[in-house]
Amino acid sequence: MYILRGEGASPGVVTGRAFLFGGREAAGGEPARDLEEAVARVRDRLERAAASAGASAGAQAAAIFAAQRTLAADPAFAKRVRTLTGSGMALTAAVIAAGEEYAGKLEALKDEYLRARATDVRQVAAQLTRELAGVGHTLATALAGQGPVVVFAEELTPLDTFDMDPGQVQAVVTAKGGPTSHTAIIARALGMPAVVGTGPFPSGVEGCEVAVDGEEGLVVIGPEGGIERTLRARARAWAGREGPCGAGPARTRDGLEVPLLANVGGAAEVTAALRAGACGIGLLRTEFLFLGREVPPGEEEQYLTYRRLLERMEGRPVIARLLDIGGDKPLPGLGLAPEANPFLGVRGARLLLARSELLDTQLRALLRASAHGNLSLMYPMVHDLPQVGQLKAAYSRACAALSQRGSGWREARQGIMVELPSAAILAGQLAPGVDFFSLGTNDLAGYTLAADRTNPAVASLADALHPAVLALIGGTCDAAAAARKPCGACGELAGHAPAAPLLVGLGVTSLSAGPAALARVRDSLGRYTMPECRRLAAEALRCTSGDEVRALLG
Amino acid sequence: MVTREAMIRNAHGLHLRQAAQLVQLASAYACDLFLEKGGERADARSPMELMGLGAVVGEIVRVVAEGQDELAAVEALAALIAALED
Repeated sequence: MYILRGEGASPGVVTGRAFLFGGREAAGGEPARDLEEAVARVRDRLERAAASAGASAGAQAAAIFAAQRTLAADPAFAKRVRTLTGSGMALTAAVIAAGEEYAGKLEALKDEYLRARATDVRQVAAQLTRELAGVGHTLATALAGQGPVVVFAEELTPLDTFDMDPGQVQAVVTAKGGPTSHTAIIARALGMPAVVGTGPFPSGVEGCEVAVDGEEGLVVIGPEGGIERTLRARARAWAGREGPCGAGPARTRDGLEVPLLANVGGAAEVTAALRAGACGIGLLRTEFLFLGREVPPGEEEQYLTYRRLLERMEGRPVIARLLDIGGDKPLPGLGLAPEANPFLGVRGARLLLARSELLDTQLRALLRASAHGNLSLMYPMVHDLPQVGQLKAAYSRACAALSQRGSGWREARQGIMVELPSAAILAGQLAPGVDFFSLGTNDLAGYTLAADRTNPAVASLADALHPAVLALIGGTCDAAAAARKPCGACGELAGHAPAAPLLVGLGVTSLSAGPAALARVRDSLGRYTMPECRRLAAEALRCTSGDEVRALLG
Repeated sequence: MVTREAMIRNAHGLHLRQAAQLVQLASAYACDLFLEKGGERADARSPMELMGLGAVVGEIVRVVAEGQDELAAVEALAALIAALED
């Protein structure tokens, strides 16, 4: 037994088999011809990584990838490499030498935080040399064909960390780095235990049984006796934590199934959704692809990202909401005009229709990805039926363009967010024209009660439990049921466990919430029978305030 | 040639993400763009050189632009520097 101590960088306890990454890099790819091609490849990998890393859980990770992308394309660095090769140095040597020069300069600075960025420069130079050698992306290559492992490495680049399959890599141990290293941030985003800064590993660690405690910063190689028993018990508890209430749909006490879906804002959250036992993704916020960049992503990049996500969901339903921005959620790259009243301005579907190049590109990318999974499209902020007609015309346009081009694609269901009172009031007109509804309870409450959630003076008025909002929800569900269309809910209310029986009683057919909320929602719904849910809904509709409704809920 | 001075206000100073933001903005202009601090000069399109300035909170950097859109570039860059966040 050998114990390594480092810093706990991402919590969790696992036991597994050690995989030593670093020494023997598997070659096999095509070497990049020159520095420009190596840079282009690294940028391309980082771009895809940034897109997949996501906006909410992975926002920090996405920013790191984006920053590394500019680092890889540094013109001063490229110029220095050219100068060195011009004086007779080999290209790979020149890349390493130039990287060392810039890294050395950073290490000479007084500021500790800036000194640590020398690592980023070295990692980019190392990645470039790998591309020049045709080694490409080594961790993914090295792990191919391996079973579940605990990865041991001197140091990992953010790209290495990103490309790991969280289903295969149980934990990460690095000899170098600290808790603010990029490896640590990304491991946390992926929910993967990590210990960093352990110092050198003992020889022969490869293939050993190991236990990793990401909270205590403890790595035990070949655990024995009491330590082994303790860590194994903690590892079981950690694994159990991931799906305490089982997977699949929730059930009322009398056995009615209600699908539980996850709201997801990026690829990193897909893992969390699957671990939480979600039946699918009820709200994919596609904004994650667009945030933090000047130029919107092209069709190909979007397609690859959606496709990868659909493949990871393995046939489970995924509802992708088209880009939902504008006014209050601006994107610098789009050059949107400032509005005096953005909540009543060019948002959601209005923006998509005003900027048809955005809508068309996203539709084409989604329809191509649709061939690789179970995809539904959802239009945000829809206000009436003629607008649905315009959106469906854009959909047909995208289908026609793809057919003409001969690209592979597949039709997807089309639904709308019901989050404007006008849509809820006219739900009877809208339901026959779409495949499904999804209630956006946050905006519905804000618009119904004319209260801005970002204004502290009135935020509490925007109460999704207010009987006025519940009446609109109930009416929307009735209209959907009459047209035999499903009506889900994906707002905050759907993740508020005590409200689950109320929503189901009003007629909501599926609930979509953040992965962390699903276990409690499942639990809450299991305590009510369907008749009890309906009675609760009827009582709530008779209340005169949100507080009265709250008092009814458990 | 146009110059503007701007103060670094974010706690971590001009590190990787901040440098990347400056590079991205600088790339939108055609003119030559530099940042200077204490006699050192960095290409505003090079994140490595920008970080190499070691500009930390409270320090003043000078934006230097030369070329056709120099005025717009210098204003935009100075404004971004003053508004950087961690």
